[in-house]
Amino acid sequence: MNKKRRTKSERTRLREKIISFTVLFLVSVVWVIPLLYMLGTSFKSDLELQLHPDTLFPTSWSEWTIEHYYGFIVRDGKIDNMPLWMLNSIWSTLATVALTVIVDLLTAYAVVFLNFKGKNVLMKFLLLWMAVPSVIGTAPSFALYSSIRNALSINGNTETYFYIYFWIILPGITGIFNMLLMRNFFDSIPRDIIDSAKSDGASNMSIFRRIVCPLAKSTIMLIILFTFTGSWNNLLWPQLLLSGGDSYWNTITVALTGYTGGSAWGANGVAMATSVFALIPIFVVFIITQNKMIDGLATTGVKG
Amino acid sequence: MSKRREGLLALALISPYLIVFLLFTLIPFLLGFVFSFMRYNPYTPGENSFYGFNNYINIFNFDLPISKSFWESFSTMLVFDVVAVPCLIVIPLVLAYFINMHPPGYKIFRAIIFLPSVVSITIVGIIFGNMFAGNSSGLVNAWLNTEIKWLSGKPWAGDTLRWLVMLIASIWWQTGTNFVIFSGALRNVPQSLYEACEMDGGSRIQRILYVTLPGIRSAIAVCLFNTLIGYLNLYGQPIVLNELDNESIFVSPMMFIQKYLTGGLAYARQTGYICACAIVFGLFVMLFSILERRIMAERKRKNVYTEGCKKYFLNKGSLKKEGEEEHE
Repeated sequence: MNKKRRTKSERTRLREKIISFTVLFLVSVVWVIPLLYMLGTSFKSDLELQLHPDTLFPTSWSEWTIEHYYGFIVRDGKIDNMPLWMLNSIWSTLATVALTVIVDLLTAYAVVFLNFKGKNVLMKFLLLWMAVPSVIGTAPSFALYSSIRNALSINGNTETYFYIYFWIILPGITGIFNMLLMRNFFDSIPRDIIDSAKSDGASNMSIFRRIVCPLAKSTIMLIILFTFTGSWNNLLWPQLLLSGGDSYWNTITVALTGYTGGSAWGANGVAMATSVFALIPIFVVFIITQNKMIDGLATTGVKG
Repeated sequence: MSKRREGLLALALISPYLIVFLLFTLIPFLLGFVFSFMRYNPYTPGENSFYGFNNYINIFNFDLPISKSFWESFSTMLVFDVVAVPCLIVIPLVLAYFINMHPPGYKIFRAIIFLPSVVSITIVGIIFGNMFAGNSSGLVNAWLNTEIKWLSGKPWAGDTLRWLVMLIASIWWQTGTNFVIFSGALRNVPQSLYEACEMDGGSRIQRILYVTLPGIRSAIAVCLFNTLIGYLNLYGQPIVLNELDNESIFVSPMMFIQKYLTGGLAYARQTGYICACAIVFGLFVMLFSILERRIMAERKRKNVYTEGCKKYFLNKGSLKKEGEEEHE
């Protein structure tokens, strides 16, 4: 009786595995088609795009070309806009990530390990604030941005560029979710450790540097991942600020909207090549950290 | 350390966060309320005047063209959400159910399905816009041997094709997030419950209905509200999946607000009105976030990182390694 039951459940398990493998395999094939299409199209020559729009990749080995990649970095002997867009994205994203981590670490440390007046009020307020939709702030933020720009009469190229990026970077660094993630982690560090370090004469500075920060590595990593992808892919707010600016100021995500909408559909080799470029940093981060990212998302439940 | 010094140190540590939060989040938010009661134009600071509730009255005056397009964008977005949000719950749930059977190579499948979530919406737009291009150069038209104008036309009103492309793109793009959250939640449903149900002669359907779904109730609530709130703020998809002949059609309130703000001097005098629109729309979104709070309040505060860290300290009792590996 017992033996029979086991074989039955083993058979069910095997059947489960076969069915789930088939379903997931088919879904995965469908899921990678758009990405393969992007990659393949970026290597098709313009003629090939006209003749064989129905294939994912160029039809023969001799048809593979890198002209879209080359023509996009250097055009007519000059550096094209694309590398500048990448650079804009890279530095603004790195700045956002670095500032977010620093600010979150400092704030969470103060909230968890130091006593000050109004601590609970502050935390309650921030928790409440998470329910407030950011859309209410979008229009007035933009109005504030334009009025300050008018009032200070910021018109020069470099000034305006940095003024815009100031406005792109800073609003993104105070994400409440990330800060709470850090605070929750700090909360979980047993107080005995901090207390014994304090009684050994350790200053706040050395507790922060030698105990708290090394422990928080995995949470920091998670915040970096959420902030990096969020900031690299941010479209709405940067697009608002960059509209009407010089085209080489754009971040890559905003610049790519130039290849969408309107009458842009059609000559797509260059658009695909640019997309491939824009995806490289995200993919590198994804491939290195995908397990951490997926586990982090599964356990915290919300994307940053 | 004296109390006073500790307070000063704390103030110094939280001040960067507070200042940035104040300047770039709180003050704009409060200004939004002020502007919504004004005729406001950022380019002519001298002429701004108090306007009372007129902006709000104008929003509900459906004869004004601007109000008409605001409410049209609002209703179009709602129709899209009614279809898209259930899709983005059910499909990830089904996929998570299958991944939880752990077939060979399930980690690879998991990574592939999650992968599009890190792609930016503009790239999604470029890929799907080209796949569904209206002329014969589009992949789908080439496969079907047709010349369907996929991206022209307004969702639902006569032409649902563009809406369909937006839905397909959304599903491809955002299934991953909910899928990962669901698969994490499914892993945490105790195996003993399934066994008990099986012992009692429960069929597979019964096990799903009485064990699986109740076990991941809170994950479903989180995903439902996050997806819903995200899709109320629908912006990227209609912006990137667009064609010339319907560029002036507003598909969502976010798109409406954005278009008016970037319209330059001609539209800048409507800033007060746009702020009022944003508040009306924001309050609507807030209804759902408050509802989410209510429902989540009963959910036990369970932080896996907290538990992992506690376990680490209980086991090791020392500080030599960071406590990150044990959070499973």
